[in-house]
Parts: sequence; structure tokens; C-alpha cells
Amino acid sequence: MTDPAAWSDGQRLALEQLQALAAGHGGLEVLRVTYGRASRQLEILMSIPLDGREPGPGIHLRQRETFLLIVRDDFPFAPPIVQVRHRRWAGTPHVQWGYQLCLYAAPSTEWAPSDGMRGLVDRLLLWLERAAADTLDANGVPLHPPVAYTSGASGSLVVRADLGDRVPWRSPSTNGPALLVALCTQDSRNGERLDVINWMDASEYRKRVSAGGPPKGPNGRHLVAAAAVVLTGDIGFEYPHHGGDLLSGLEQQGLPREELLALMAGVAYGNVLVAKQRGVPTPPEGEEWPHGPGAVPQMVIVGTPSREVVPGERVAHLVAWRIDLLTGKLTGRLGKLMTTSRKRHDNRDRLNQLGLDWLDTDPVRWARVFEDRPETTRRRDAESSATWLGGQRVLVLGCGALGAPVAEAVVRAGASDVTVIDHGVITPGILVRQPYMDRDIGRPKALVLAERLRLINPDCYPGCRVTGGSQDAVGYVSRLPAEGDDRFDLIIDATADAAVRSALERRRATTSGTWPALLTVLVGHRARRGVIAVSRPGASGGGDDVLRRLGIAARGSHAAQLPDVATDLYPRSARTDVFLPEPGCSAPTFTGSHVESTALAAALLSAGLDALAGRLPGAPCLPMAAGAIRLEPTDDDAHGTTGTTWIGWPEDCVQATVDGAFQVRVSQIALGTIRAEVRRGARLRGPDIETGGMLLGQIDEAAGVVYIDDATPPTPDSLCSAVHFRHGIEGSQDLVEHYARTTGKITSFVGMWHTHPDGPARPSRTDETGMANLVTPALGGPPRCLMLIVGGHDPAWTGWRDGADRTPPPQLYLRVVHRADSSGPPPQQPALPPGKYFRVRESIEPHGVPWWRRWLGGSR
Amino acid sequence: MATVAWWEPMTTDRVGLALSGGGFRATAFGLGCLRALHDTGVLSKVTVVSGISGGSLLAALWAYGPSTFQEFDGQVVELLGRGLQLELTTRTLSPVRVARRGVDLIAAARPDGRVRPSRNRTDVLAALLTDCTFGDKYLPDVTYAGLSTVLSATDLITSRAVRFGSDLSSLSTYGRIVEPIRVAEAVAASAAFPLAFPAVQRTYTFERGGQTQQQRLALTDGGVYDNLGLSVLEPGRNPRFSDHVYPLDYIVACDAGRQERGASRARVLPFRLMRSFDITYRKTQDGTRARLHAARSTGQIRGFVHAYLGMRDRRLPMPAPGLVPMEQVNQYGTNFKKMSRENLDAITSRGEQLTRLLLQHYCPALLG
Repeated sequence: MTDPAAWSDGQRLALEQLQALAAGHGGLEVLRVTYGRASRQLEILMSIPLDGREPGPGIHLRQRETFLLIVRDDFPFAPPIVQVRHRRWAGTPHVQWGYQLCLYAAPSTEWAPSDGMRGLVDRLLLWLERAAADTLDANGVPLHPPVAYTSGASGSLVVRADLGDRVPWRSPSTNGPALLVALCTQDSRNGERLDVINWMDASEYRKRVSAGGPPKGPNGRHLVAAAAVVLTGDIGFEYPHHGGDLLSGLEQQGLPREELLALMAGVAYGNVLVAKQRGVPTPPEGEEWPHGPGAVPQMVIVGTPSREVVPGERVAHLVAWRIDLLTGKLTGRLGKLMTTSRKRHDNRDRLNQLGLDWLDTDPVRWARVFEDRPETTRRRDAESSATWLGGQRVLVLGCGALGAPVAEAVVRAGASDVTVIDHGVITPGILVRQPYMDRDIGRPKALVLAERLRLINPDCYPGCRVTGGSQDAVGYVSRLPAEGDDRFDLIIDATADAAVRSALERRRATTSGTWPALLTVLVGHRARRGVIAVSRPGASGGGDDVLRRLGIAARGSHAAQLPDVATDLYPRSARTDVFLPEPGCSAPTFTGSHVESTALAAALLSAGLDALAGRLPGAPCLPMAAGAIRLEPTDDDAHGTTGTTWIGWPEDCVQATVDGAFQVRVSQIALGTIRAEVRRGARLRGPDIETGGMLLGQIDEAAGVVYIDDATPPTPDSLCSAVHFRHGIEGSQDLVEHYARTTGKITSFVGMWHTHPDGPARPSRTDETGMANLVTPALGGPPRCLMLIVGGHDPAWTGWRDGADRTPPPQLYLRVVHRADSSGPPPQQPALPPGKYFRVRESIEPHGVPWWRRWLGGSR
Repeated sequence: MATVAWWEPMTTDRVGLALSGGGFRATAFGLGCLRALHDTGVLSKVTVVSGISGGSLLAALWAYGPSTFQEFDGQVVELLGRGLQLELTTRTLSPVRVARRGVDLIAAARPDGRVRPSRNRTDVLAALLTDCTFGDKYLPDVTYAGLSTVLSATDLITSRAVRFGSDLSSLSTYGRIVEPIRVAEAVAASAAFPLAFPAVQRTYTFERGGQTQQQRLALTDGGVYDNLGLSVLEPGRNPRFSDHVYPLDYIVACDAGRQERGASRARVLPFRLMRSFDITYRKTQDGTRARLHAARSTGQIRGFVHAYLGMRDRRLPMPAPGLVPMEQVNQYGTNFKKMSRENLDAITSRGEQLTRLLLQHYCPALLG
């Protein structure tokens, strides 16, 4: 035994622990301890009694077995290596190189450092028990793939295309191995890497090559090839080290070596043909192609039935045998001969034999295989709402602290087409939190971002097309086609720019087609919280609309849940502490670090995708929703609000004004109030009597939208009849002020509504003459007002009035009326047309009661 | 982190309606509330109506009444205009009843106790309600499919609430009542205000976990237990411990119960007792309201409206032009006397106005 002073603490601990075990009654014996000074490894030879165990179908266990434990100096933070000093168990699953036992499939979760050597011995005994019973691979558990010891120096192969039904065990007609060709792209920077993007039957490939036209990829892309054989069974648990062993193993599986050589030769020749087509210079005589024939690393992909992802559906496990450069050259020559000359048999046979000899003596090198086949791999985001983005075409407006991380996430999630728009350039200040580099300073953000995003999966097929546009987002939005946009499935507005939102809203309001989904993201002025506005495809309102609603909710109906959002994003008066990072007229922005802005960007996108995927808690698929996302509150957060708050809204009733100048969006709440008043009027005053009230909302001339948020009942001094409705003034000013106050002035008086029960929804002659009064009942109202007439003939009218479901009124008449002069006194009220008038205040008793019965009192 | 969501609106909003006790005053105020709910389309979303005393009467008149609102409205107006007090007195003093009552009392005096069903004034009320409105209807016979009713009375023996309902009737101490129960009987029991009516003596068969037992109850006004009728609608009730559990999104409470009495020295015992009763009452009701507001802010329920007849007008959350002022109706008594047209109009109008306004302000999504 060498001097323990040289050992690490862990190695001393290992021996102590093992000796403690040996002192017990288990019969464990420590036979010999050696220390390799150069390797810094402690080797402990120990034996364990195994008598009394039932023999099983697996490995044979003797009465006592000896094991060599190799304890590295990082013990107990890594498990010791366990080896046997015999070859009796070679070829058994989970015995590598014939003597090393694979006790832990995933040491990071299975090895408990605190259990130390006791844990190791327990694990070893369990392993032996299972190996003896041949149950190391339980049913349904994926088989341990055959081991091939790979090396990065032997090139790499990324397998992206599924083998599908090309594997021989899926087709009942074929016996023996399937001969295939893997069609690959070759990495432009690393020529030693091939990406398999498709598979082809070998015979088909040979036919194409003979015809001088090797197969091409999408858009005429040149593809190189690699030979592939898929066997019906394992070669053995380990792939051999020498070409001869491998060839005989393949032969045992029904693949004659001549056939393999022919396949390799054909592929090599095909690659040389492709090299000419793609303009790779042919090396002068006497010099070699780089990598392999046709400047392509020559590989033979060997597939075996192995992994089970879907139970009962076994898919192929692939390894890639890297052919030596010289052998490759030989097969290249052979290929040319085989495909071009049918006469020179002798020559061919001689070369053939030479090739086989080479292969026989070659040491087998294995290239690294990186699996990306959908049939064997699972996307790490499979359970996430980000799958909604798969194959989608996405427009990201803004490439700043929110837009850049959002765009990156969209590309990584598998979108098929991503366009990023920003007219800004990279400045030193933004490097604090935006994902750009010092070398990019002065360059357009959108172009730099697009360049970087293209690198995420350039060779992935089908890949993601990334386009960068260094242009003004407002201009870009304004140029979107007017008949609806089918170029995008999702628009993400990450500009935090009111002008962009307004331009988008105008585009939506004036577009005839259905709009794609729209996500609008914003963060608060200190990046402690953000909001996301979600408009599903075809929703009546865009980001501007949804954020308006959120403002009304934060100031009014949901003030208790959104106090922080109200003060942060909907301040009552304009913020005075605007943050201007650079001198001069730089754009005001929020303060906050990379951590906060990136966390919020990710959380906002995640919430938006949850909403689009219909995965919000208890959520119906409402067309419009807004979520407030918060970072954990800090000591200066007065409200202490935490978590996420969602609010959703149903579709508005959307109709253009008669002159088409505005799109009017009447909220369900306003329609509900109008219908309640119509019902009430019918109950009290009879079904023919008109009623009306005020409309509250906003006329947005920039977006070309009139928002109707709410409606009011008639004032008590209003006069109703079957021919005319005249709105009174009592209490109306108070109501208007109430709405302005409780919504932070988002909502105010915008016009008047009245009904034409069982009549056409258009202005009567009296309405026309008294238009100014109809829209502004003696209020110093705005210069433009909306006149809304609700009408429709029976049975539609009565059906709507008494219906329980949310249906719009049968007819709406909408007109924006301009007041000629808003400064003077209100115009003269026209005379009331003749008819029986009810004053709203007095009509609280059911109509139709004769005066004498009322006077007498009692029942009707 | 908690996620709280308000989806405006859910297609399947479930509204619970509580109609408080308070004699005809509550019936009239509740009628106004129902008118507002009808106009706004909320009434068709009511999945459970809970009534106490005068509210029970209204709840039953609606839930077991005519299928059109206009007819129901007319029936309630007619009943309020006619009153029940006079008829009650006439029937109570009828010779046949007096004779039977005498037999009952003699039976009750025997050592083995009262074995005959009681025929006191509350039974007379039940008979009267049977004759003039509910007929032979039993509790499951609701007019609207999917509507549950809960008419609550208080059992003086166990001091627990007895919940009569369309789905089931039960008393938490004993379990579910097996016998079918007439609507009129449940309403009368719920309305038997202890100072005006005697307790009704009833023996029911109770079932719990397959075991049945007979128990005698002394039923009095449900308002003794909870005058708002809200306790049965509160969120978070566990079906393991309560028979009546109704999942709800919104709760609308119409409250025309005990009015605020002005300052009083309460020198004599009855007034002191009355005063103490008032204070206890108010505090429990405040507690219930606070719990419901908390349930709203945590998202357990989506909205809560409490239309209170005695609400101070200047505390309303939004301007209410043409509102019937509180002072005009607050002093109206809590009895079953016939109601004058003016009082009826004023009380129902206030109920309607308050409900409309509070719905609009607190539950706008429910109106959309």
C-alpha cells in the first residue's frame, strides 16, 4: 500500500468506508489497495460473497466475485468506476469494453455522495441481481443502445430526418438489412459535419447518380450523401474496433461485404459529382479531396432496432462509421468504375478486393451522432405553450429590451418565418440590457438581430426564415395590405410606442379581412411589472383597444386588483420623472436592468402564448385579454400586489358609421344597458315607446375608431313617446363627470342613443331637424358626437329585446354629427311632435292603469 | 405567484340571489330588485335563490309562480296591495280553529307531551299561503329548470338553520328531511317572526348515511339565524359538511331587513333587548358582507352586489338621478299588512334603482 498522505481526503474516506463495511458481517473483503501516483487514482480490489443466489437467464455469478473499484480524487462527488478482471460478462448489456460495469445511467441523479461506498456496494448488488435475472432492461424501458465509442475528431452527423417506414422491421416484405442513402447538407464552416435531411432507397439513389443527377434539396440546394444500412438485429452489444470484425458482424446480419462496398462506392461517386455541381475544385492528380471523396466526410450509418419512444414502435438507433481518407479514395475510384464502365470487370474486381482489404484492416472510427429525429427525440418545449409558435409566421415590431428577447424566443420555438422591424441603431447605452455587442455599435438593430437569429438553426429543415427590416414600425404597419394580411399568423408589438399601436388600430379598423393574432407588450417605468394585451385572430380590438380597456378596469372596476398598474401605466397626470438616458432628445425609456427587462419580456411572451394556446386558468377563449405580470414586490412598492392578473373581454359589436369615416365598437356592456332600458321601457311604458340615453367612450380620430364603453338610462326629466325621444339634462353632467373620474378620463361623453322600437334604425324627420340636440343635450360637449339609433322590425326586435343570449340589436344606425358651432348657446329645441309623452320620472308605475284606479289605489 | 383571472363574461355565469327578511317591506324591495335583474337579463342567470321570511315569500312566488315576469310581477303587486294580516286575523279567530287549538293545547298538557300536529297562527299562515298562492306545490316543483331554491327557517330546539329547498331539505344536526314538503309550509316557517308568530312544531324523518331518525323541530323565522339569506351562498362551503353547496360566480343580496334606528336611550328592558339584538344582528351582517368582499378580491367570486334599502344615498358609488331617497322608505314597518300604492311604488322603485346602479358599477360584465 502506498503512502496515504498523497491521497485525496475523498480517497481516504472511500477506503475508511469500505473497511467499515468489511468489518461488518456481509463477508466483503478488501484484497488489495494500490495508488497510481500519475493517474491519482486509488484502486481497491475487493470481493463480495454471492452464494445462495438463484441462477437466472442472465450473467452467471460465482460464489464470490472480485471487483476493482477505481476511486478518483473527486470522490465522493463522483462514483467510483467498477470493473471486473475477467471477460465472462463481455457482450452483456451495460458491460462496457467487456469489463466495466455501467452501474449508473445518470450519476447526477442516481449517485448520492452522502451514501458513499455503502451506496455503491448496494447499487452493485442490485445490478448483479438484475444482470443475473436479465432484467436490467425492463419491458417498455428504452433499450440501452449498442455502444460505439465516438470521437469528435471523426466528424459529426446531425440526424434531422425520420427513418419512418424505411426500417426493415416495419416492412413485412423485406428480409435482412435495408440499404439506404442519407441525403445531407454539409456545414459551411465545419466541413466535418453532415446534417441528414432526408433518406432515399439505395437503388433509387444509384439510378439517379447513374443518370448524372444526384438528388437535390428544396430550392435546388445541393445535397451530399452518406451510405446507410439498417439491420434487423444487433451486431452485439458493442460495435467492434476493427473493420474486419464490423464487416463480419454485418455479414452475420445478412449484409454481404461486397454489397456494402458497392453502396459506399456509389455514394462516394455521387458526392464527387455533386462537388463538381457545387463548384468545389477537384484536387489535382496526386492530391486528395479534403474530408473525403467530393470534399465530403465519408460515413456509413449503421442502424439497429433499439429505442422505443412510443411503446411497441421500435425505431432505429444510429451510429456513423467514419471511413478513413485513403479507403474513401479507393471507394471513390471504385464507384466511378462501377457506374460508368460495365466492361472492365477485371479491373473492378481487383479494386473491389483491394477496397475490402482496406476496410478489413482499418481501425473503426465512429463519428459523433447528434440525434434530432422527431421519431427518437422529444422537443424540450413539447409541453410548453411555445409549441403554438411552431411553423407560424411572426412579425416582431421593435428590437429593443422586449422585442429582441421575444424574437429570439420565437425563432427557438420553431416559427417558420420571423420578420423583425426597428429603425433604431445600436448605441453604447443599450448594451446594458439589450442583447447586442460592442462591435455592433452604430449598426441597425433589426439587421444585427436578424443576423444573429439566423444562426440559431440555419441548417434545420424546415428552417426558420429570418428577415430584418431597419425601418420605422409606423411606416411598416401603414403599408400592410388593406385587405387583411395573410403574410403573418402573429404580430408582436414590442415597440411600447403609442404611435405604432394607433397605426395598427387604424389598419385593423380600415381593413376588410381577418387580422392575425396580435400581442402587445409594455413594461412599467421601472421594469417591475409589464402588461400584455392579447387580441386573438379576428378580435374586434387591437392593442390600443385592449390597453384602453385595461386602463378603465385599473382605474375603475378592478382598481382593487390593479392598483400598481393604474399608477405605473395609467397615471392620472403625465409623469414628470421621465427617464432620458442620453443628452439631447433621446427617447424616454424605463429604468431597469437586463435581468428585469428580460425576465419581463419572457414572462409576457409566455403569458401571451398561454393565452393564444387557450391555456389560461379557467379561461374561455375570449377574443381580447390583458394580463398584468409582476416581478416580486420590492421594498418601495407601495401596493405590494403580486402574481398575475388577467382580465378578458368579449367581442364588441362592430359597425362603421354611415359615411364610413369611423369604425364604431359598441361594448357588450353598453349593449346590455341599452337592452335593459328597452326592456324596462316596454315593461313600464309599453313596447312602442322610444327610450334613450347618453353614450360614454372615446372618439379616436387617429385610429378612426369610436369606442362605446357604456350607455346610461334616460334622465328622469327625459320625455318618451312612440314618435320621439327627448333626453333631459337632470343629473347627466354628474354622470358624465363620474365616468371621467372613475376611468382616469379614458371614458367621457361621446354621444346619444335612442330607440325606434319595431321601426327602422334611421333618423326620423324630427331626428334630422333636432340633430344637434340629439347629440348634445345642453352639454358643452365635444365638437363631434355620435348618434346611435337602435331599431329593427318585429319579430327580430322583440326577439332581441326579450332574448337571453348576447346578440346585437337587429339594426344600428351610426353617424358622427359635427356641431357647427360649439361655443355659442345650444340650438333651439324643436317643437315636440304630437303624441302621448311619458316623463321618465313619473312612469315608474306599470302603464295602462286608468287614472281612476290609480286614484282609488289598491290592486289593478 | 398567484394568478387571478376575471373573464368578462363567462358564458355560464351562475348568480346566487339572496332575498332578505323584513315582512312585506322586504317583499316589495325584493320585487324591485327582481325587476332590475329581469331588465338586465341577470334573472335568467340566477341558479339559486335563497329567501328569508318576507324574502322567502317573494322567492317562492317567483320560483314557483307563473313563467312570465309580467304575470309574476302583477301577482306580487296584488298580494302586497291586499295584505295578509287581516285574513290571518280572521282565520285565526275562526271558531273551528279555536276549537282545534284548544284540543292541541290540552294534548300538549298531557304528561307524554304534544303528539298532535300544531295548529297555531303560523299553521294558519301556511294554510292561507296554500289557498291564495302556492296551492299544493311541493318544493321540487320549481317553474324554471335548473333553479334551486333555499327557504330558511330556524329550529329553536337545536338552534340551527333548517334549509328547505328544491334540491333537498335538511338540518345540519340531523341530516336530510325525507318527507316531501309543501312550498307554503316552508314559506310560513321561514316567515314566522318570533315576536309575531309562534314557532311551528313539526316532526320530520331525517336521513344521514343510510340511517333514519324522527325528530321534532320548533320552527321560527329564518331571520333569527341569518336575516340576509347569504350564509348558504357563501363561497368555500365544503360539501363534506354542508348539504347545501352552490358554486356561484356572482352573488346579489337584496336587503330590506332591520333598519337603522336612531339614537335611543333604551331605558326599559324590552328596548334594551331590542337594541342588543339589533347590534348583534348588524355585526354578523357586516361580517358576512366583509367575507364576500374579500371573496371577490381574491377571485373566489367574480362579483357581489348588496342592495340595501337603508343604504345612505350619498355613499352610493355613482350618481343616481331620480333615486327614491332612503328617508322616504326607511321607516316602513316589517309586517304583512296591506301596502299602500305610494309605499309600494317607492319601495320597489328604490329596490330597482339600487340594484341596477350597483350591478352597473360592481358587475358591469354581468350586464353585457
